[in-house]
Amino acid sequence: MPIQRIHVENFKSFSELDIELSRFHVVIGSNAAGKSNFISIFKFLRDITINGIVNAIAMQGGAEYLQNTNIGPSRDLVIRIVYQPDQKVEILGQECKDTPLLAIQSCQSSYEFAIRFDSHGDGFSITRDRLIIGCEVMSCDRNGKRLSKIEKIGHGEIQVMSDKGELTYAVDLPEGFPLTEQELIPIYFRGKRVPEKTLLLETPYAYPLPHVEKFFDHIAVYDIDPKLLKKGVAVTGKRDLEEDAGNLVLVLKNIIGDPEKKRKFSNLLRDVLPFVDDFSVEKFMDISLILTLRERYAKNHDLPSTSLSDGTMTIFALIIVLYFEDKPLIIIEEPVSHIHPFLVGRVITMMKESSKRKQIMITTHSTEVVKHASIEDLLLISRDTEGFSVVSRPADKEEVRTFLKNEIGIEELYIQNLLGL
Amino acid sequence: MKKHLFIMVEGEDDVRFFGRIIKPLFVSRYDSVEIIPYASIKRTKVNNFLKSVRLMKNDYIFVADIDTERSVRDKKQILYYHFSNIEGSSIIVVIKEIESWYYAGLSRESALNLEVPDLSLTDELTKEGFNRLIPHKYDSRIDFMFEILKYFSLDSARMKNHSFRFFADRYYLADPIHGHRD
Repeated sequence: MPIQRIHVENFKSFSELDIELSRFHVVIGSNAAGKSNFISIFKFLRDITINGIVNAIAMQGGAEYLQNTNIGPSRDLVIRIVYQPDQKVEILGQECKDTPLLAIQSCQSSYEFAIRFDSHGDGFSITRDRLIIGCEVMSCDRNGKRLSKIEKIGHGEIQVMSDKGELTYAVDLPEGFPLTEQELIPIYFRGKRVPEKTLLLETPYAYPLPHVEKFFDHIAVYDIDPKLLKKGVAVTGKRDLEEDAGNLVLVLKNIIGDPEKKRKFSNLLRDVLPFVDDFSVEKFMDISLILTLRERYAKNHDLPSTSLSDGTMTIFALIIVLYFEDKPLIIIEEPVSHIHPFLVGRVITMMKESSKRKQIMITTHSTEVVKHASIEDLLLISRDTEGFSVVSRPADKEEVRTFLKNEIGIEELYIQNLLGL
Repeated sequence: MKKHLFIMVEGEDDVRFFGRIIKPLFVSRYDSVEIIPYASIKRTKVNNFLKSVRLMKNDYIFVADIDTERSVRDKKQILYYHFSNIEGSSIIVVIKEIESWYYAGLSRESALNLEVPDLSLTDELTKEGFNRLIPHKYDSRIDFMFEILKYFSLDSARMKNHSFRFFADRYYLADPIHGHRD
């Protein structure tokens, strides 16, 4: 599972938060409870990786809006993430010709940083910055592309630390591992300094081994705007779906171009919208693309996307997000706000299925979503007596369990605001 | 008054099956055919729903998996206990789970096309067993189920699953099969 645990201090409406995550979560809470602030943690990490910490702070509105208003610069802003990168086995090499190959597989890793803001303005210093890469070390043979005779040597850890910009590595590898720290960490990674106001996460030094690929920059936070999807899009653009799904038609064009992908997309689409007979992407004036859809009721008449409902367009985007985007963690804000309650169960079934391959988190106010989610999937965000946001799991609460046992549905407890008892 | 048929099913996998395969076989007999997934509805509400359907003199079929019950009779007893308004004649028990009905609809040729094993009987096929049969090229179970429904043969399903055959014969969904099963 990509992100297994998250810990934050002095971040937006949170004073302190420490919570384990599962593969699928439905984040609920009343207005202004802190749902968006919770999602901002993941956006912030993603933005640091892509744009750097200075820009990431600015993208959140500056230090003033990033720290908790009541705490301010009196405490560091801390974020710690325990995560599981893609578990690929990478060959490190061979000690000599007659010995087995050495391989390494990433496993549970963690990243932590702390920032101390100046008492005024957006100035800050980095007080802690540490990545711990967990790995399993093994020996193996290679037959063509396949690895065989895989034997575990043991568990290891590679720590990468930046202390006031000075970069250090600490390698703890199991007994019997023949390579030294010097051999494992490439020479061009040593004795370097991380530039001022720069976190490890934004440098190549956080990724000293080829198997530890970047992770946080692949987090996607979707806020699908169905009105935007109905417009034609330029023929040029990204092949990944934009976070507002504005380039949906372009992404769909690529799916249609691959018969196997189109078959799969059509099946999934018809599972939710049985009346759809076919869909295509048409070129308009040679410069833009537009989605057209053929309904079962009018076989000789294609409808342009401008005539399609917001819910239909949202479902197109959701299927792409859930089944065609290769991301370790996806967050979807209010995904069912345009979808009929009868179809919500089907969409949630798809989300649960897709969460076997990627971590999925959605925010919602919809009682239908709550009804179709399992109690274990829910994360409830509320405010404590001091106004700090807290995240709890209704599944852990005895009172909630008792209500459920007595056939009071989750959705009723949600409507009555009793999930936080 | 218009005559409606309500098919009460457990979850979304059942909705998909009944929506694509069974509903078209009933549409000519009723003004409307509605499929209602009941697993996420509280029992008292399901019971009141059944009561309303009966008061309106509409028809309903209540579909339930046999789960861990030893016999159809035992399963019906459980349902009588939970729903006072249910009638035994309207209950259809799926053995074992709806996945066994999906798979039963694959003829030998269809199984070959989908690159899955041909099973002569699916009475013992569970959800877990079905999941193990999904070829690697399908990374979505929903996609695979949908693909099965494209190939679904009523005759094959009646040959390969006893409970489906009972259901199909009970509601005259196809010509009766005479003689031995192969």
